[in-house]
Amino acid sequence: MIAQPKLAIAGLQMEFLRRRTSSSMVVIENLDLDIRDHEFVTIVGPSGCGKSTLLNIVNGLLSPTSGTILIDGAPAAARRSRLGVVFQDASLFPWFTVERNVGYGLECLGTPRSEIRARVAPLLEMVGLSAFGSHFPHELSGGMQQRANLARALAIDPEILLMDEPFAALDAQTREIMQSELLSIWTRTHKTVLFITHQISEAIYLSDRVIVMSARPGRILADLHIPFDRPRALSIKRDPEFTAAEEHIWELLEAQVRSALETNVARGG
Amino acid sequence: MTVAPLPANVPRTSGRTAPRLTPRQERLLLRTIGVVGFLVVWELAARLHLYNAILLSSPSAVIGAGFGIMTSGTVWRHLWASAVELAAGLVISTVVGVAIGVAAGWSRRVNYVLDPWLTILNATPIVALVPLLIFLLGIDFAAKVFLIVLFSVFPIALNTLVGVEGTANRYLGVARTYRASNARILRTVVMPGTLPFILAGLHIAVGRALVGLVVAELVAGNEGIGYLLSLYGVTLQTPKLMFLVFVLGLTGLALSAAVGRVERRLERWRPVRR
Repeated sequence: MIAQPKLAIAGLQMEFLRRRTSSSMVVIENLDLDIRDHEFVTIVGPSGCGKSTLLNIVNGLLSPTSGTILIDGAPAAARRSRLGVVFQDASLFPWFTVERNVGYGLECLGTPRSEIRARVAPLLEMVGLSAFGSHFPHELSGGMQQRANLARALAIDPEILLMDEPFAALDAQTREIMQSELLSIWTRTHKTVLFITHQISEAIYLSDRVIVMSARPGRILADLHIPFDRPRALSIKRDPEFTAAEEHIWELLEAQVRSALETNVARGG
Repeated sequence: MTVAPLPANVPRTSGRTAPRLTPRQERLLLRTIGVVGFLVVWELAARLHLYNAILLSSPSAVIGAGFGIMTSGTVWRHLWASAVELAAGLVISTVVGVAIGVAAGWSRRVNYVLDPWLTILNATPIVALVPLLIFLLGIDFAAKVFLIVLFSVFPIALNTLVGVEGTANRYLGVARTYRASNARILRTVVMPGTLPFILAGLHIAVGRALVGLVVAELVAGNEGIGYLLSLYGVTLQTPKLMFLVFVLGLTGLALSAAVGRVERRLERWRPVRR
């Protein structure tokens, strides 16, 4: 018997209505994707291919035109309180301290204040922010803010971690460090992760599987197994096998990126 | 803190060098000269009988009158009455203004209904309504408080509205992701982000409330600072009148400073970029 997937997306279709022309724009077309428990899956694709839309549908912020999303075989709506989301950047509430931000998900679940404190402390420790609990987000560097963001998502002990280009706003060096920190945290917590990025090397370095999406309407072009042993050092990015995988994904993506560029130009931006 | 411009073209005198002032000292010196200089000219003009001192008084007469009425005792009853009206008016304005602003900023439908009236009434000189309101409501405490509220509620409501509408979508998305209830979103996301706007509205409201207070008491009632102003006016007691104007000015200054203090506390999470 095949183990039940942690997250099962089937026949997902997303269309946005265009008021002006009263036509609809298909953003995601008939997408199927199964993710196993403890798996780290990354989606790469050209901009505008519906990656973030997909994440927002899984997260429940958007409802799809059609299709089903199951978590542990049950409709996702009932299980959404167990999703942790790491957003792109600057999504910490600036008016709360780091500690209050990290505990926000628990606060929403009605967890008593003393228990929140007890659960937030080890998380801050894990992401290396123990000394910054009472600081406000603007007092932290971009990398530290994203660590706090990750801690906030982990605080509710989620079944699935959704990450929407979490390192996009960081400088290149910080980004590398954050990737390896994320892997070491993932190794310890072993959450199921759905990660979105447009950086190919980031996708390969982090993932068990890389899903390559087409330009709009978003479809799955390839579902690639990434064979590298874990734990992975950052130096594997220079491994010939790694660069070959990078090359392969880039070949798949190049035509898509070009076509995305052209449609964007045709649409006047 | 504002940074004063550097002194331009400081003359390089040979021989004896004048002591150089720091920008801060220079600012303080010039401000003092401005205030004290004006008072000295005013006093001299009165002493030299350059104008009718009964009409325009003089600084020393105003100070003397101030001592006189502050120690006489009767004035305190009037000041107290005004203070209570002002406080009640500002508290009600804040509560009502924030409530209206939040409702209109949160719900598009409420916004459609209220927005025209908020915009119109904010632009209308409320003074024009005073005769009608006196006629309708009389001259009691509640009527005066109502007038103060009318003067000061709109800047608070409109500022709150702008703040609530401007709540960043990314923060709302985060809150919805964690399944925060609407009440919690209001409390933990919308209100903290709107507080700076409410305080900005309160800054304007304080000045408007003082105008409302004086107008209400000038035209209605037999106590309060406005009543005294009109009494001193018709009986040509100019020094006393001017002293009360000075008290009103100080009150406005103190209330603004109090709002400013609260604003500075926000800078802990809201760094001021200059």
